[in-house]
Amino acid sequence: MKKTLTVSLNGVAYSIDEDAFTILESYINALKQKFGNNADGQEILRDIEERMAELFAEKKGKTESISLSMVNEVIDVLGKPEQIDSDDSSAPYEENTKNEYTQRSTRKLYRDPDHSIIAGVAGGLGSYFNTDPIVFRVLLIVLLFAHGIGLLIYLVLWFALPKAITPKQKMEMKGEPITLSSIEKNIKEEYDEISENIRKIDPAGVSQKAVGMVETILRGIGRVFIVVLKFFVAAIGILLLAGAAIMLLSLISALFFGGLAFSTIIPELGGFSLIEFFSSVFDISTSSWILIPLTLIVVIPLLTLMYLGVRMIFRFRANDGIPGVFAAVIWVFSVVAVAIFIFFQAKSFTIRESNKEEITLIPSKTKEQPLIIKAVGTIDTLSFNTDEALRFNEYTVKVTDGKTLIMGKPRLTISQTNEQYPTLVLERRSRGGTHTLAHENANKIEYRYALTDSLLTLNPYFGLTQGEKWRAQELFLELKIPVGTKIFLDKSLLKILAANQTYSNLWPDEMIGKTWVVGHNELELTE
Amino acid sequence: MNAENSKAQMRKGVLELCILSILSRGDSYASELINKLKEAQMIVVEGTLYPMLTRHKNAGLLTYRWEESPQGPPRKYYSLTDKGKEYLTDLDQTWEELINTVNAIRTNAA
Repeated sequence: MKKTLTVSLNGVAYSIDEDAFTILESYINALKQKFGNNADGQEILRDIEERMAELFAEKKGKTESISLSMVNEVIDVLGKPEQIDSDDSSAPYEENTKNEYTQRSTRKLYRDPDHSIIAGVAGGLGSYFNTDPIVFRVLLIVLLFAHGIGLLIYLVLWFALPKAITPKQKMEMKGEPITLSSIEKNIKEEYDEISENIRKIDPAGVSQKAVGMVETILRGIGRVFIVVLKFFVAAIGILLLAGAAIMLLSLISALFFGGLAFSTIIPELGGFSLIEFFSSVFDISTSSWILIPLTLIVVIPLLTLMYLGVRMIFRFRANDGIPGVFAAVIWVFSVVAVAIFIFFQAKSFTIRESNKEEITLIPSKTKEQPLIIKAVGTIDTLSFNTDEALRFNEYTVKVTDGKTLIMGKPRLTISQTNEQYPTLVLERRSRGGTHTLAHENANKIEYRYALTDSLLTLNPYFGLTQGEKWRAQELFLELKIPVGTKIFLDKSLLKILAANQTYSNLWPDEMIGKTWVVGHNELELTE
Repeated sequence: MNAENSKAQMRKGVLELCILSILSRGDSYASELINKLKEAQMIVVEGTLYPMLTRHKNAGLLTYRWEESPQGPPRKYYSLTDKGKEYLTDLDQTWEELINTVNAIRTNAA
């Protein structure tokens, strides 16, 4: 099997064998060096190329492609750069010839596929340092027992170093100057080496046998190593693929169905879908397109992981550069889109406003009866089974009939007053894009309480009008009790009692379950 | 000393004269020139011809035009300019003189 390339000589396309191309290319480069890159040099080169095309057309006849021998014949006819006289030509030519048309290459580090046991790393190192690769092999194996450093070095070099494939790369690896004749020599050597290898199969002498043994053992170790490595790569590939696939499925189910898969990872989410969650905070109903970039941000990396997994399992090469760049660009755009969206959404959190409402409570009770205060969620619409809702810190989100209902915990403080009747102060706070909006948002905080005879029932939740977005709404309740009034604080109040009571120095858990008399400075226990 | 080298040097010296002479009998293109020169064993490698043609063209001794060829791409046809003809006459004269003097020296020496 031979690789063929296509070249254009004087406007005519020719198929050419790869080795022939390498020679032809360096020949033309040598001529370029000789004649210089000025207008004259270019003209000469064009003329020569024209002639070359003519000669190839003659030689090729009906054969498919230009072979190495044809190239060599043509070069003989046209003459190697050193054979071509630029005789009495002007000085620049002279200089060029003196300068030689060779580029003295410095040695480059490659992996050597011709002298490889695993991937040609040691072979390449051997070529680079002009020593026997066995030195590096032994060194690597010794280092393998030093916490596996040898393995690490090997793997890093394997991935970092390119393989020397073309004759040019092989010569760079060996640090040979790249000239026409040296390339030819190299190709010839390669053929010789192959035939030598074939001869080597014959049983060798005793001394050679020992060397051969070591080599065979190393080769065997190398094979085992490759098999183990392939196994690991495939295993990692399967993990990647499976992990990414599960995450993707969970995401889809979480986004659209609030499915089971997601709830197993984050149990608090329950049967709640992410879309529903987002829509409770963001103005998603008016700009639902944001779901597309939002999804892409997560899906693109997951698909990439899956693809990598598949590649690692089946180890194929693919021309995935362009789709990869495409995906990366889309991902960046998605991030930017979401960032802009969040920025504008964040604007609706910039202003903070609060409203105060004072309600005088007139309980019908005798002086001796204590005012009983409870916090239970059984009063009208704001009661529900919180197990089915999504809870975030102080807030609870629930979806009913496609509408999101957001609830928060009020903060209750108890203080004294010199008035005749108890007063309930509701301070509603919210954020918004403007002062007016913040006020409006605050006003949409709904709160229920009930006073019957001597029982004051406070709802443990405040609610937002159906469909309202979350804007960091807060509700502060201040219950002002006339001095000398007896109150009983039910245990249920623990849910809403603020930790920092301004009037009392007691902690919420010290306050509950007891009957108190409201004093001037502190709650006093009744006997 | 290498006799081949000396022969090559001699041929090289008169190559210019040969090319201009061929062109003085009629316009020609590179491949044709090469065939004639090869028959006469004047050049070893074809590559030598091209720099020479370019140099003479630059010196104003030659011009070229593109002409369609019966097969393949168009060809560069070279022709001698007036200046080139003068130059050739000059060279011809020198050549005649050279033959005579060289022969004289050779026969005398022999």
